[in-house]
Amino acid sequence: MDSDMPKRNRGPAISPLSSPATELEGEEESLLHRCRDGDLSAFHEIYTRFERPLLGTAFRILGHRQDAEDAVHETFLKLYLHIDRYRSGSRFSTYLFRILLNSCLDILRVRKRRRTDRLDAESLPYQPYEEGLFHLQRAIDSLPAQMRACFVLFAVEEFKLEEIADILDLRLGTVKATIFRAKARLRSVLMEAHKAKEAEA
Amino acid sequence: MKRGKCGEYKRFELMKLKPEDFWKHAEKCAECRQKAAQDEKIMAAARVLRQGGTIEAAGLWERIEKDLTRLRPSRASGRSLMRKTALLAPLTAGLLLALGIGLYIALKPNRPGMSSGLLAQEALVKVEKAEAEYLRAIGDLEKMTLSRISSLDLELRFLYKDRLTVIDAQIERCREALDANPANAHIRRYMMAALQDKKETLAELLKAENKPADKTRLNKTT
Amino acid sequence: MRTPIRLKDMRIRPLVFLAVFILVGGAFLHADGLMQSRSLSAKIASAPGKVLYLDNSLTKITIVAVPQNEIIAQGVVEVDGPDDKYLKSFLDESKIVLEPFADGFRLRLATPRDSEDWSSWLKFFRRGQSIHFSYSARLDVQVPAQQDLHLDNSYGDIKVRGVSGKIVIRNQSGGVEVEGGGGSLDVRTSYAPTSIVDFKGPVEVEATSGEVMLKNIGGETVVRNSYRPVRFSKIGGPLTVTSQSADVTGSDVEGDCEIRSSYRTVDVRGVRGKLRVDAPSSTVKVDAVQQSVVVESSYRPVSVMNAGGEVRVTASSGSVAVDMAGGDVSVRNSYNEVRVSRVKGAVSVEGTSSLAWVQDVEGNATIVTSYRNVTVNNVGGTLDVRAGSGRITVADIKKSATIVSSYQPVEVRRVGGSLKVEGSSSSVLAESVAGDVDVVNSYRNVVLRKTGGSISVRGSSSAIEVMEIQSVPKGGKIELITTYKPITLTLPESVEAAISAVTTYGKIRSDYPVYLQDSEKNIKIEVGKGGILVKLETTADITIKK
Repeated sequence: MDSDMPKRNRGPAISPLSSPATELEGEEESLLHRCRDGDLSAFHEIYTRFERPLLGTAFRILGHRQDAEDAVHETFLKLYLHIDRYRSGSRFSTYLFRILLNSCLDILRVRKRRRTDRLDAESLPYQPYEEGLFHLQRAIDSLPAQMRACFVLFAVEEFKLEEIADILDLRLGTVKATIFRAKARLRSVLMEAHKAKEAEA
Repeated sequence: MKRGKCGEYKRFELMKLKPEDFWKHAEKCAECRQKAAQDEKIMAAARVLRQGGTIEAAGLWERIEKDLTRLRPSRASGRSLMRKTALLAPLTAGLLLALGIGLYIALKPNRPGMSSGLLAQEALVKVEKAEAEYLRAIGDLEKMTLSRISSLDLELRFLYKDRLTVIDAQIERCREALDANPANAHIRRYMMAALQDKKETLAELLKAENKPADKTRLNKTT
Repeated sequence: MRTPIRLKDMRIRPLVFLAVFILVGGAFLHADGLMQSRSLSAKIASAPGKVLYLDNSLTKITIVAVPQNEIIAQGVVEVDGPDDKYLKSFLDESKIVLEPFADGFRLRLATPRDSEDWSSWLKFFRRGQSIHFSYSARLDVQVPAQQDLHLDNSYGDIKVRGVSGKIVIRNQSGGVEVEGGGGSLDVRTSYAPTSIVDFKGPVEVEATSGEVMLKNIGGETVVRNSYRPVRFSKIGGPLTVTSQSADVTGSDVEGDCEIRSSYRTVDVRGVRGKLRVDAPSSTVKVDAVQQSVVVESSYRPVSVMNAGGEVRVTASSGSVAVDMAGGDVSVRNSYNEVRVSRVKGAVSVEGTSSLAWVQDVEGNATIVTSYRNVTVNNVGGTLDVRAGSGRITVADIKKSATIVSSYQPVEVRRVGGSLKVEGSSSSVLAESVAGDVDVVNSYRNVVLRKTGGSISVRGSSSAIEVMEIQSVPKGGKIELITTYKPITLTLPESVEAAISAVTTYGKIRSDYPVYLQDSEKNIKIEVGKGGILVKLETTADITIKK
């Protein structure tokens, strides 16, 4: 690891929640009204807008394509059944991701994970894969559920801390502390992987 | 990971230290510099993970739409399925357990000058044993309900799954809190309440029935 | 499905639990352990407009309003564990933090577990874990009555008494109790009960899996919860309850009321504004709503009584009862029964296989159903019934009536206007109809009595009998046509009519003198100077009586 003075350059915060392609503001009222009426085309519209960030987030947390699809599938069913729970004062995207995260955490809790063969090059969505990214995903996979969710939402999907607190129903301080501990843990895991690789070489 | 001695990086991460103050400190602190650099690489790699590609889920919307269509009539007109019928031994045990909880709460000592926030050691051991018994009973019920839940209508299945997810989340949170604070009476009380809730929900699930559509139709009279 | 239970387990297991808890109580009473505690206190002068931020966990918090303009905090930390030195060190390092912060003050009962110093935190955390250390805390705070509060806690109950500022409470796995005071209240909690009593301002509660109890609230109230009951009484403004699978019970709402729930019971009484209930698979009971009522439910009974305005009910497969409505009533239902009575406006019942019973309606009544009986009594306007395969019994309709049915009898009595009946394979009995009567049916009898207008009956294989005619208007007609079955017509004494009777295979009998025409199967009769036209046609016998 180099010891040069690192530059803090996060770049602009490209949170999926603030992306014009995904946010519903403006037409939100009429779309949600149609959802409450059970209009499936309204749900399809929501799916079209949020498919990529939902699948991406679920995949990062669950590490498995099929599980990610199941989580998104369950999210839309729950959205359909519980659309009345959404309060118009809060952001719809936060509500949607909250449902997704609950589904992901549920899958992690209930199902037996296929630990050995789940994460491999072919289960990653892009080609060709890079070894470093593979190890990072594996390291993320080793984090406890809540820590994993906080880190993925913050570092991978670039949600704001307040948004993460709202999605996971945690205090802001808890989110900050969890992300800090996640990074500390990832540092440790990646360092071990690096050492093991050097030892092999 | 060896724990460093400098806490400045943590303070900076938790936004308790201004960036300019931290970077000034980091000029002199190799440990903080190293941690910041490592984290920067991790964050950069994480961003690449996201930008790296899109997961394709062929046919996913079609599967969702199919299930939503099945849900549609039952969303406006759900089914009256949750019958409260007499529970068998689990109810007997549950009622007595509730009695036990009431007894336990009522028997909390009223020590002058002290709140009753903690359980004494012996009491704690006994409560932990009782919780373990409870968990075993829940485990048995869970095995019985495994096939039951998959035979329910979609809406009812989701209702129970959601409810059990909520209870499981609460049990897990209580467990985490108890790991660091095992004798705290408040957490123990809430843990017990969650276990009782789970047992009642599973017992209710065992009795839940789908209402066949045919039973609601009357034959044409001539 | 019966769970396999051994009788032995049934007897022993509950006894084991009972014994355990008696022992727990006893052990607790007698055990001393190494429990230690320390009291702490702090205070600070407050000022109007300042917010008190309290961020804690594992703390039982009580906040009470006092007349003084200062914040006084008193805390107690209790610790327990085998390592005396550790306990003492933990208590020594615990403190109350009460300091200026942001737009107000920050209050914490800080223990070494909350330390921002990594090494201190770790020292206490690791040591505490290894020696089975536990702690709990209590914080009693006095604040000025108008103090704004922002409380964030977990695993500890929060109680607030008499505070009238803007109050925000977040508590996880800890109950919230607010009594007295005003201002505004925003509560979010989970897995624990919330109770708010005598609060003068608006209230918003979100309680995941938590019971909510509200009583005597001064302003608008919004509740969101799941799986636990919601109870309310005396809400001083509009009320919205959004609940999942929870009983919602309450009374006395000053404004509009909207309730959503499912799979449980909704019971609401005494709403001064409008009421809307959206509760699939729920029993719904509504009583005394001053304005309109809208209910959507299914599979369970719905009862609406005493509504000042219109009533709209949609209940699939659930019985519906509406009694005393000040406006129109509209019911959509299936596979169950609908009973509507004492309605000041119009009534509309739309059901599939729904029994319909409607009584005392001041306006018009429209009923569409099938396969089940329809009973209507006393309608001040018109009546329109379409009920395939259902027995229809109608009486006392002030204006006209239209009935379409099949396969079941139709009985109509006392209609103030005209009557039109289409009954395929339905027998028709109509009595005391002031206006014209028009019947089309088949395979069953038609009997008309005491009619006051023109009569037209077209039957197929239907026997027709008309008697006790009260009057037929000048220029009116009586037309009875059928096949294979006899026609019997009894004309009033003073009638003047030109009668034409044709039969194919039957006989024609008449109390009046007959002119033969063509044959004895096609006759004409002149009674008086003509007047009303009477046409009788069938393939069977015709009888004309005086």
